Amino acid sequence: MAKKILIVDDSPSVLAILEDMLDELGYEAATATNGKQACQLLETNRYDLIITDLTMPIMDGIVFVQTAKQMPNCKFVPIVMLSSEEDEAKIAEAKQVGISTFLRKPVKEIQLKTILQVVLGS
Amino acid sequence: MKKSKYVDIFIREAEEHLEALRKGILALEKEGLSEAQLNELLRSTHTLKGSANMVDLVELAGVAHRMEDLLKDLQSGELEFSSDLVDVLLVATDAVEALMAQAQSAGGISVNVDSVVKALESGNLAEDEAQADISPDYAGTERRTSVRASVERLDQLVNRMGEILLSQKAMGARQQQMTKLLNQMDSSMGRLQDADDHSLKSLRSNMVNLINDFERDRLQLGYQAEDVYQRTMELRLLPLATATDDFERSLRNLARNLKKEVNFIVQGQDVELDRNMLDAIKPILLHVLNNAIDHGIEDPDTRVRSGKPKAGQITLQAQYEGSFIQVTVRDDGQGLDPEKIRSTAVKRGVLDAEAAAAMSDEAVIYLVFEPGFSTREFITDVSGRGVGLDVVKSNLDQVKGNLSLHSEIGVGTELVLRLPLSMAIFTGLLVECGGETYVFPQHYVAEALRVSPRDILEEMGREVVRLRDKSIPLNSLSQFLEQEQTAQITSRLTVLVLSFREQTMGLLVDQTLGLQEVVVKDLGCQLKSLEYVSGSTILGDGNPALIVSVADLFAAGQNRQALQLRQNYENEQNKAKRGRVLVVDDSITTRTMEKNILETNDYEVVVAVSGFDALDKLNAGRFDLMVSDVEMPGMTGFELTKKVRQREDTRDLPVIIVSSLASDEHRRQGMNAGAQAYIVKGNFQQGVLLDTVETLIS
Repeated sequence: MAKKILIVDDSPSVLAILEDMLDELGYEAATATNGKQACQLLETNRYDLIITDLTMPIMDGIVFVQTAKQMPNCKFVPIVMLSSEEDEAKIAEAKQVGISTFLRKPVKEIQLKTILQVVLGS
Repeated sequence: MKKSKYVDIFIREAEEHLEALRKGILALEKEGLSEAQLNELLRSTHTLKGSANMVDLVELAGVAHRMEDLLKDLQSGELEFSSDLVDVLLVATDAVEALMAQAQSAGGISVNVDSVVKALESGNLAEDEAQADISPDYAGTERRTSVRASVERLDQLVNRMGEILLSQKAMGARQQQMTKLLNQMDSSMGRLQDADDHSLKSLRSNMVNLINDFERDRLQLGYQAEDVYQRTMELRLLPLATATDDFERSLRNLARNLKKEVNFIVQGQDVELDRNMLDAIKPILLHVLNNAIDHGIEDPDTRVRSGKPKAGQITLQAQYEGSFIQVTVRDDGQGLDPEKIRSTAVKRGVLDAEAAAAMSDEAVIYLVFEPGFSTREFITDVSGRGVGLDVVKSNLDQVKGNLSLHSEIGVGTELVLRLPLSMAIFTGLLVECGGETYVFPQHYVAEALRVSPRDILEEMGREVVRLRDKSIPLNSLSQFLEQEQTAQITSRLTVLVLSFREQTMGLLVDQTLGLQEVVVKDLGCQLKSLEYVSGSTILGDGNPALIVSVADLFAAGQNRQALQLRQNYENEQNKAKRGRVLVVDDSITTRTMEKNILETNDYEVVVAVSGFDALDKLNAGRFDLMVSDVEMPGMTGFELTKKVRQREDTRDLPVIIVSSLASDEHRRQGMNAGAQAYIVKGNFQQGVLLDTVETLIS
């Protein structure tokens, strides 16, 4: 069974690229364009991993991670943050709320592959 | 990765951000600085930066990044808000828009954003950025009384216009070459430029201007040529009635000879078609209409007995549908009986009994178009020449049309012809196969899939792919074209799903190159007999490309031998690896990354988590190379390398040290320990690692 990954990003082009990358790597991808939408998906679906952007409208990455970590479905699901944020304080804040790792955009397929293997332990 | 697809998505997204940015920036000026407004702007620039980076539009990301920085400075109060800043930000949005245009033209437009970046960094505009606005003003042409022109002269005119369009497209490629030259010049003269040579700088900016002007002129020429071409084409249009008027007489005669009663109704006589198109579809229509009377419409007695009106009805209807013309021929006769068609086809030698039995009822009715199926030859033109029925296929192919046939026993038969508006220009999907570019008319391509060889299944001795619960037979373009199977069978295959006469076929190609408007050129006499090719075209870059005949592919598709793609893939997988590499690193991320990089490039990789682990693995097996980190607990990479050098069996094993320690002292230590290469960990430098591994192994 292919592992299911939820991607959360407000940029359609980023979603398209990540979806294709994950598809190539043999994962099954679902997408949401902000934290709120992602939370709705999390209520009814189980994912093996979440990749989220930091800066998003409606609900940003940090609030989303905090919310997700309190959902029973999602407590132990690893979350990878993928953002072009350069502000170290912001990144540190994200790490505090419980992300597994922070990746800087742009991400290459082989980087993503590696991180997913490491985080998913496969 | 198909870049164009992502760029298109990105452009749509960026347009929204651009609009929001412009509105927001103007609102800042009108309503003063507000935290909410600033946050909105910051988010837009931030997202723009991130997305642009992902689609590899680095320059655009750079501009967005500078805008973000400037807005952040405004937010923190480091910068004082002024209308100068508004100007700078607005000019920056113009630059973003220009870069978007450049991205869409795939490098066809040259955009220089250096001054904008500088302005964003300094907070004010250095020079005036005014741009001359050149908008053409075409005065409406006055209508004259009509003149007569021979069809031959019109054809010449259309052909010449086609040539002009081709030249214009070729100019686009020339312009790209100029831009490329300029870039080459820049990189080889970079040092001179730094020397602040004013004459050189002005020379360069003159050249940039020249290229931009050229681009503008070229686009202008393109619009005008396209317009003239369109108008010239319209001169050749004839209403459908010119063909159908001929039909009525001959159909009435045929019906009378067969003692049948038929009402022939034409709808959409005013629909205008290209004269050549009309010539091409006329035999098809006539064939179908004759068939309808001959085999479709029952004799009056039979009709009355089955409760139908005495006179049969045949309707020919034409209508515009988007960029197509749809022609429908419908009769209320007895319909086509698949069983009868099977036996007739076998009897007349169109195909053997086994093949006929294997065909579905939906597919079997198309056999009526096969040469040899019908013995009746219809006289279709005034010269009295009988036309063989293969004209249906070849003519359909010539006009790049499509056809579907439906029939219900006892109720009637319906044939739908879909024809492009123009025969001479169409949107083509460019694909690469065996290093050559081929063009597929876009309307035959239902979709393009990326499949893994593992997704290929075998059904009844054929390889198929599954798409939405349907099996699609798989063929390979290179096999049709009798190319050597040069295409590497990689883990992802590109398959076009072609649809013709309501049948589908998967066609393996090396890769898709995007859509392009193409102008059809006739093949020269030498190429006329080429199989699977219906014409040629000249691409934007000036190179010729062949247009694939989808009709031919389908005609031949059934009889192809199995592809064995899956088998080939598995063989490939089992092929000897390029070498065995031991990767030593205590960081799981680093060693997984190095393993992935090497494995992707066909090396066999074993990982070790420490120096001791590495020595164990070296004892257990033979390796061609070792890649090691330096700072590891217990034993450093330098110590490990020394030990490797001391051991009898690994004395000559090449060692690459990969480390974040960048000083010369560390490099020297690495070399002293006996490493052949020392790579400093960058952000992401798979190229360096691979090059080094390759050099040392071979």
